[in-house]
Amino acid sequence: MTIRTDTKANLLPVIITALVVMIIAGCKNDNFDPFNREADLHFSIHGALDASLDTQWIRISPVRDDFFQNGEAFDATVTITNTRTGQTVTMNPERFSRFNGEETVYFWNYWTTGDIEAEEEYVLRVFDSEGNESSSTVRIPPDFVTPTFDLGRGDDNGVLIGEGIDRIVVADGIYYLTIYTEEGGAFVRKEYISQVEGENITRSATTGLYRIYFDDMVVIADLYKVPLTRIQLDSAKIYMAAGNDSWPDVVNYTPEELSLPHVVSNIENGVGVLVGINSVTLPFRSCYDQDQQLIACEPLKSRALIKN
Amino acid sequence: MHQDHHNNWVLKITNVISGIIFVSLCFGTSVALAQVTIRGLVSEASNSTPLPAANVVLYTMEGETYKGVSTDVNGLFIINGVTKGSYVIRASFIGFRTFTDTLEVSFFTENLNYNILLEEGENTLDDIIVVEEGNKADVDVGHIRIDKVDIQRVPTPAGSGDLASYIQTLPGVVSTGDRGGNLFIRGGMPTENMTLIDGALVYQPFHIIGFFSVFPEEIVSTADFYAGGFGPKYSGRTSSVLDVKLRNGDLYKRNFSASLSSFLSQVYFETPLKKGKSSLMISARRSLIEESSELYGNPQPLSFNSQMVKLNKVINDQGSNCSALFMRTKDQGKLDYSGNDVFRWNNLVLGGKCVALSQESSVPYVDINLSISHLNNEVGDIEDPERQSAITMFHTQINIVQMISSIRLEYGFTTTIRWMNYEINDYFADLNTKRQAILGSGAYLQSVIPLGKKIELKPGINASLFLFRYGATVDPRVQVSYKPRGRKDEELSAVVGLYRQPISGIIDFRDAGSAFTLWTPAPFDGEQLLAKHAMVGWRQPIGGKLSYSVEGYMKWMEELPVSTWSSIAKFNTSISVADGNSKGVDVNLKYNGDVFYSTVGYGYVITEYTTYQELFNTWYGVDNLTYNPPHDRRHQLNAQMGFDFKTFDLNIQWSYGSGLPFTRPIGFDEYLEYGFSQPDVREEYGTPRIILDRPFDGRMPEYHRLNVSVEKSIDLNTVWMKLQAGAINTYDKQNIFYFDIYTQRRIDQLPFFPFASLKVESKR
Repeated sequence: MTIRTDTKANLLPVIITALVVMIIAGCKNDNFDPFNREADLHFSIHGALDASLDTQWIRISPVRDDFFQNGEAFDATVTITNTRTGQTVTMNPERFSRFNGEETVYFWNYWTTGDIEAEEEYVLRVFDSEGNESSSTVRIPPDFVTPTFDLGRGDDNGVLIGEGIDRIVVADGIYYLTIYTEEGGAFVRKEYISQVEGENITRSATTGLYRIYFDDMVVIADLYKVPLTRIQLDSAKIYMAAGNDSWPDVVNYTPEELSLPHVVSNIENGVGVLVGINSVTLPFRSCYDQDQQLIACEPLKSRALIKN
Repeated sequence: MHQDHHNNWVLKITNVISGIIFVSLCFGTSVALAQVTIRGLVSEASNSTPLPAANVVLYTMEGETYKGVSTDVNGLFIINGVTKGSYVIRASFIGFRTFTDTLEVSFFTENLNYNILLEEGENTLDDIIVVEEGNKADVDVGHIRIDKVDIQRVPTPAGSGDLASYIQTLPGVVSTGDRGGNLFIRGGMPTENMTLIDGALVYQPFHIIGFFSVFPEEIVSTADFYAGGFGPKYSGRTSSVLDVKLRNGDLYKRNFSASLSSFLSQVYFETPLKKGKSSLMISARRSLIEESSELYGNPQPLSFNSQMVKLNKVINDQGSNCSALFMRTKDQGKLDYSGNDVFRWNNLVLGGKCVALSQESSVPYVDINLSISHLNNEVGDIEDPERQSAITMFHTQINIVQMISSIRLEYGFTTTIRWMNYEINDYFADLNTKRQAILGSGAYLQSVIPLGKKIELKPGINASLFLFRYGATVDPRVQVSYKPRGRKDEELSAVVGLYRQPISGIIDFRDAGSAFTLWTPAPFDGEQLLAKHAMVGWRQPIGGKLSYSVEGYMKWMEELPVSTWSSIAKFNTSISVADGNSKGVDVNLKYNGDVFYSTVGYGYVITEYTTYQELFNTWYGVDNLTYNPPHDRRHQLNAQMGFDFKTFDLNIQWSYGSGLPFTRPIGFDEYLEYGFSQPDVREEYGTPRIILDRPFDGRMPEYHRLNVSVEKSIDLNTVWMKLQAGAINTYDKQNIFYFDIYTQRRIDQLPFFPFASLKVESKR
């Protein structure tokens, strides 16, 4: 009996103290921030510096807390500097929007009409007023001779022949189609078919000549599950680009891996991909001189030929 | 190679155990001459419910203690090696009047059956005797026996206590929040826990509001909770067992209770159908928090209801009886209140159990269980669920206790058929078979071998075979206990065992706010989930009312299904396999006085999973990644105290848990893929992407909460009226439940939530 009384007497102050401590402790509520602010990833940068274009467009977004951007301008200055000359241009922001089926989503591209020269090296820097900076350095591939395109005779197959490109990173057939359905309807589509992915490129080890084969109508027919006779080719063009090691090598990666921020990124303190390219867009047709010799067609959108 | 090594290991252990049992049986039989075994059931007088852990002691006529035992989980006691003479037999159990009788033992019979009925009331033994014959003395490492008083002492926002609230006060039991009904026991997953109600499985026993389960205090007789290291009688789960024995309805008088609180309403009724022969018990509950929370301006769209009916029939006055059980539950609610996903699940349990006791045979106890357990759970729009999974199990089990001299043998046979089906709209990308069945059968054997007066060895094996699915398996389990001073409440015990689980419950823990479980046969290479447990524990009383226990444990787990990581924000996921281990220490300190009682429990655990996923080499430069899963609560402290003064009860409970792991986001962007073609940044939006840190490298804030309740009982002649008031989260700590990083919304657990309850119950 005595023991019980003593125990109670000793425990009561302990209990009261414990309760007070608990209540005081409880007054301090946490301010939970789930994001890892220590990670040194500030901006997301995607785009290409293309020597053949008169206007450069680069996608810039902050590595942000929100799933979608709200459309408001953000604190960022974007510059491109030629590392040899030190010449720097500042890019201009422009807001874009798209409806994704549920809501309007916004994104910002930065543009400049400043010159991007072949075989030069450029640093693209994105920084904010707090000193956070992401950057990437890319070299622009050399200019190349405009390739010739031989559509062939009587079918849609064609072969593009050229030289002077160490690495072809893009070779797309771009098709504008009308597809007629069995029910009598019709719809219009635009399709990009990559010849790089389709491994339709051959290269001569001795001459350096490359050939790109375009045989995409069968692929398109298969895609839409209609016979070739129901596909009307309204127009087509070829887009190809020379690249270098700034262009990511994706062959060994799964789509899941490619989505990982570090796998193919060349952005320092940021995420994304900045590539240096030199491109040309050609009509999907053959061109001949007065002697009926096959020649390169006038590019649809390129400075490469102009320089040549 | 690994599997061969593993099988060899199992084979060796099994051979050793078989040898031990065989040698012990031979030895035990040879020395068992000219001695009498006294055996019987200790049951509640009013309703014949067996009382596990009741103390039965033989005294000489001079008043000296001769032999003493505790009843087992079936209420059965067996006192071996009693020599001819006169004795005083005394049986006691807290909350019941002590039974005392004289007993004459002669050699005319080898077995003397002696059933004891205890009547509810104040224990008349003095304090010292109560301690020596402590209520829960005879439990081993990893095992806790819970009774109605334990359940009552935890503040629960209802007119009655609830087993769910109690279980969550135990160290080693981790809940990720106060809703969803998922409990992680010593590193295991919720779907690796087994909950039995009178021998019938309940797939999802915990309600969507975490304070409540299908076990209110009124219907629970006792509950045996094994946090691991459970014996071979239990098979089919790899983490823990909660074996709940329900009360039988009163055989002689009607009793009822009805309560109303801001969280739920509840009625309980029991009546004899044929006086002294059969009885009926009915319990029904319905949540009210959805309605009452509107009044507080803090809507909680969570609801549940459950109904339970139990019929009991006494077969003979030797203690044989049969019972039938029906139980159903329905839970529904949004874990993320502003989200669209509604979680729903229904349990249905039908069970029948017969217990037979024999006077003459060497088999004193047999019970036969038949049950059907069903769970359906779904999530999505309330009218058109996106995912649904159902499992139904038919189960039979026979349990036999046999004495061969002083060696106690427990063995049994079981057959199960499980049917599973699901429709998940490709949510788990690897799971395609939508309807499956598994037929399995098994047997177990456990022996209790006393090695002198201080050491007891319990070797056992569990064998199972699942036709057309898994090969035959034999899982050895061994327990040893040492009582250095021969006291029942002072023991060093250790257990090792192998455990398998033929079905997997897959929960997508990418989403903390999920309560959807997909039940399927083990999805990986035809291998069952596998766990190895090793535990050691020491418990000891300090003085008359204070006691403590310390337990250390390790669990190794294999074939765990986990979600595959992805950096792309997407609805569905693949399933990967992980191995895991948990190592921890639980410490419990308990003071159990007449007026004041207190328990402090601390648990420390490290849980690690190791998994191989294709991305890891690219992502981290390693093939296998070891991480702490989202239930790795490193520190857990629970302090509970109460005063029971005349008609007032005050209960206070404070719980603390260190932060749970989560995968920290670094941020969002949209990525454009430069690969075989060049995206047009002016035309294409890109793929929304979450940029994640290493998996589960962050920790959420710590959790703590103070719950308080005060109760006043008023005597209204024929009934008690109980008024209770209290509060959940008394100092209004913002405890995070989860954070939706996509929408930047933080979902907290219950804020300060006052409650009041009124309960009326008949006097027993």
